Amino acid sequence: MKAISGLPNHVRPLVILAVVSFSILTARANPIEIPEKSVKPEICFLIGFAILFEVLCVWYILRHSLRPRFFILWLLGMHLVTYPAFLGLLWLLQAMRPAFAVAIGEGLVVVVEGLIIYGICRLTAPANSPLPRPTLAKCWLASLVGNVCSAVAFPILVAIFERFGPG
Amino acid sequence: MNKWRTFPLPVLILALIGIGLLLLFTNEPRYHRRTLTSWLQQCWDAPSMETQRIAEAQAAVRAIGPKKVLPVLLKLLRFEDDPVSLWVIRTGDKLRFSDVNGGRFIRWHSAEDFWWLGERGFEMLGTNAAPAAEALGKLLDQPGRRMVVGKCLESIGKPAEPVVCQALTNQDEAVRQWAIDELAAVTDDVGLYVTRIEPRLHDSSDAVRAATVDAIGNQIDAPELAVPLLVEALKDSAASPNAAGALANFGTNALVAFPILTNLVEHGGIKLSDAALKTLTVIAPDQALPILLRRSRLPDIAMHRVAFLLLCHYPMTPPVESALQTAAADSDPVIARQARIILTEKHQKEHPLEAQFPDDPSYAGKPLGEWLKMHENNGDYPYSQAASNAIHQIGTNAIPALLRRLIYVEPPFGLPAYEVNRDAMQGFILLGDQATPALPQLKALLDGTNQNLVLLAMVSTLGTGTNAIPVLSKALTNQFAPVRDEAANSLAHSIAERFPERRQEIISLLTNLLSDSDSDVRLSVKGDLQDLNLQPLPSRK
Repeated sequence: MKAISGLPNHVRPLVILAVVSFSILTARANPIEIPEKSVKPEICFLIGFAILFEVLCVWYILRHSLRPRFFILWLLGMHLVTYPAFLGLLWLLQAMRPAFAVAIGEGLVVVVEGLIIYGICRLTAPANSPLPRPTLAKCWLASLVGNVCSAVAFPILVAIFERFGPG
Repeated sequence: MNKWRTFPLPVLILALIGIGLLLLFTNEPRYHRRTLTSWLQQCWDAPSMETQRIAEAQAAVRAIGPKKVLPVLLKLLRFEDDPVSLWVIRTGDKLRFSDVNGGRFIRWHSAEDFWWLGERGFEMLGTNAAPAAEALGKLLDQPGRRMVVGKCLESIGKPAEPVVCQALTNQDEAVRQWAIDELAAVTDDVGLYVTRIEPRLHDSSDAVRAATVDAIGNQIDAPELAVPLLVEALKDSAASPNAAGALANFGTNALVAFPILTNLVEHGGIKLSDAALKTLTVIAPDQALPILLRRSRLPDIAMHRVAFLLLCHYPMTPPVESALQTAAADSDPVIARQARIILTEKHQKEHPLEAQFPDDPSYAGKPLGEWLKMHENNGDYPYSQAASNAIHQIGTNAIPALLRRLIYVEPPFGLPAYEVNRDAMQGFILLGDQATPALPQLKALLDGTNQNLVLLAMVSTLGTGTNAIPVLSKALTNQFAPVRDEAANSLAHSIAERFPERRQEIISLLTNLLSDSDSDVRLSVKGDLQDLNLQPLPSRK
């Protein structure tokens, strides 16, 4: 399987991916039918920043490994799948203690995202690069560190939001 | 394609983790593939009228069986909140993403929610949950859980008796207090119950001793056991008001306490003295009357008021009536008002209302007053068809009688007679245009100082249509804000809607009220003007 070469062929799907990835920042849709006020739109920014932080951590850990072009966009795109899946899992586990549910959800996200990162690096990276391919363990480590950083950043972002945000 | 060959291993690992987690979280007992917790949640969420859903959940819990259910319920009752969970709940709630009520995408459960889910399970199992009673007893000491554990033990009922007995000596006074009440529900024999709780009369906690006295006071079927204990408790300063009050439950069986109670009335503290006096009026009303009469003349307002309020329950004998007559002029407005109400009621019995309106016109053999009582629904408007017809037939002859009724007050103290006044107002409205001759008198009433009467007089004019506009415009400048408000409202709705050609005139009248001193009136008038602007313009002929 030869890596796709030539910028024009890459640009279109990546632009689409970027648009879809960043649309979370401006998303206002609230499909959940609730009797009270809808979800605070600021949550999109909090989640968006936390994800961006995670992505940067993963990128930093794998910076010396073989990875595709626009790796950050790939990672952001990955969250389009893993974040809704995480929320769905929380929904399934909502009868549990919140701390347990979140811990299990985060644990699974680490495992799944590690696998996806491994797949991205192996399947979409250019074959002619001199960089070594990342091992599965390294991908899981990157995913773990990224998610820990994101999980630590989220409460800090919430605290900042509470301190400086509207009402 | 080599890249793909390395994939089965990670996928296998993931699958194993998934299966492991699945096994970890499916160890809860199930019925019809649903977990016990989800059945409990169904029962918790279902409103009480959704009996089918509740019965379904109950059947499921019973089908799973107490042996499997009880460990889970106890586990739920043992849950504690951790800081992470509390943070998750708080943040989710703040961002309106989750809550604990089920109104958001995710419904989290605090520890207390889990406790109450567990309690629901105990409620469903009833006495079948008896094997868990001892474990529940140990949970009574856990902070914040007394109420929920108490409910669980209540659901178990009689088999929980030993645990409740043990709780009588619990180190937490709130638990001991709870146990005193709860034991009554699980002990069949009154004597045994009193014997069990009697040691609590010497408890170190004032609240527990008071609760014990109250509990003994409720044993009205065993006066021979309860009364001596209550008399003894009168010596305990913390529980004596409760004991004095509780003796009233035993009626003449508590006569033995009369001398002590009399003494307490004279020398006890305010609370004790009041309780003792109240009990005296129950166990020996005749002997208590002179005490009441004497105390009702005391200068101390608190004593005076209690004595007077107890006196109000006595039959209207001459000494009582005389005391009430004096009280009607009392400086304490509460006492004076109560005395006037009682004396007015007595007056009403002796002087029926209709006898005070002998000159009322009649129709079809019935006086106007009788027709005015013929509402379609009991005491509610509108009038029956027959009454409407009769009042129309009486016509302008009804005006003097209606005016008398509109300003009528209850003799001998001039208390308001709302019902009579309101019937008169409705009579005027029903007369329609025929009430026009009464407008000058009704307009004059607007200068009165009684807000209620001014309002009634103003509303009485509404049946006359546009003839009411001068009265209503006068009411727009009335001293009482509610009158101005109601006048504006009547003009905007009752008049402008029926007579759209007068709308402009009404708009200009209401515009003046936009600078009213009362903010409620300004706001209301603004709304009225908006309503008027929304109404269609009258068609030009």
